[in-house]
Amino acid sequence: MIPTTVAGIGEIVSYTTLHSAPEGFRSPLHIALVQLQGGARFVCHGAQTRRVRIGSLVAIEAVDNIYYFSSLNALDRARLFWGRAGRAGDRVNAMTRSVVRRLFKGGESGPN
Amino acid sequence: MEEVWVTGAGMTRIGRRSEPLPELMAEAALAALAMAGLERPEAIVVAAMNPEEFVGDGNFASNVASHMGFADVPTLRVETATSSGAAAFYTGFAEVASGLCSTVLVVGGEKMTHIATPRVSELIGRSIDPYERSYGATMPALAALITRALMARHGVGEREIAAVAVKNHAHAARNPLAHFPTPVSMDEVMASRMVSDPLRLLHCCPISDGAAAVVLSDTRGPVRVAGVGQGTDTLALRHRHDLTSFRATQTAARAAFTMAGFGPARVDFAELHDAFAPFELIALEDIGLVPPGKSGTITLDGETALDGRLPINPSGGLKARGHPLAATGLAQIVECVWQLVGRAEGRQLNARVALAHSIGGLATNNWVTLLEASR
Repeated sequence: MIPTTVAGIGEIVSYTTLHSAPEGFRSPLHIALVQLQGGARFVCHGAQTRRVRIGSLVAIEAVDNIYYFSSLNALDRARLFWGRAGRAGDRVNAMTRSVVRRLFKGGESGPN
Repeated sequence: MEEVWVTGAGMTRIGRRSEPLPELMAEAALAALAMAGLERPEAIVVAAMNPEEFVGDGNFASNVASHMGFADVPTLRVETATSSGAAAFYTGFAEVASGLCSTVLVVGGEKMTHIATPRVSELIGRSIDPYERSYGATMPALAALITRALMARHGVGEREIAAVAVKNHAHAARNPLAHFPTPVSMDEVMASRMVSDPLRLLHCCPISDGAAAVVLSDTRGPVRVAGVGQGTDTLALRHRHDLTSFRATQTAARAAFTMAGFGPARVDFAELHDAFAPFELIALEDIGLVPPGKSGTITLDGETALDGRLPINPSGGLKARGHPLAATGLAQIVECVWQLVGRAEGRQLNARVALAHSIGGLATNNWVTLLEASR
């Protein structure tokens, strides 16, 4: 289970915890629909959904060709903002756009 | 296009049944033929979603026709996942409307209760996009994603969703053919086991056996088919922009109302596809029966109850009448016909125009049917 690629940051469109997962999956199974910048949506697994809300920004990474989401803590966010130029800069722009969009929509949660 | 009339409607009791599926379908078909006063239809349309896996029989159109003693009647089978019954109705309608046939028997059924729930869930789940399925997504899981998004909007909370289940159970208590003719309380619904957060067990329809049938004819009968519409959408949920409405329902409703030449204001009552309680709220708005954002309040206020302004699911809906997959679209139409001709004993409405709404898969292939009493 070694991360192979890092897809970056996405926004939670919706999420659920399935308590009777199908054969071959652990139960409970945390599933989220995540939107990347540019609008592409992915179904992702996660370790938990406790700190997740619709509209939350999450980190997305692929492990063994399966996408996983994990919530960003304050430290992650700070790193995203102040860390580096280059790729992180794109992410900061995405986050800013997302924040602006949410303010613009008057506090409605989620992209729906 | 010829006018098409429903001259007969019949169905079995829904629930756990011991009879083989062809026998259940024959029971429903014979009841419909008896009401129509018809001995032998010119053609038969059969709806079954997955008899190959559920009961182990294939070539199911011929199987059912032979079982009924109609081996010499041209028969075909139609499948659009969980809306197969409505799709079969459309096929029969088209056969009569085109002038190809003057009488068609449409019969749908499914038998599932003899199979363990995880296996049933897996078989139904095969109608989900394969990539999303590879993440362990089941129907309840995807419905939960939709429900969560719906609840993020104003006006739909746990109480509004629970109110749908409470109402439909109350309706089913007046329907002797319902799977669950038992009332449930708001507290019971809201305390029931979590299936896929925020969807609870009592928000979900049961696994049921049963069959339903109608007879369509080009000669004047008690109920006229005013309009039929189909709507479709992407197989994958992730390819849809909006989770809180179903394009397939909106398209189907538009097509049906266009054919009928009237709008939602003429509808007196409706049978809506409440496989998950929040789907009834979504359908109310997608069809245009209530203004956007109002379905929750209206339901909580009792406007969609039997004695309300716009009764929804007088039969008990999928939630409490039960959901034997391919029978469901036809069972909805049977309820509509019985209401329109005054045969809905114990829950009779005074109505002239009825609407039936059926969802195939995760709203990838939906149908809206409009029926009008011909008094």
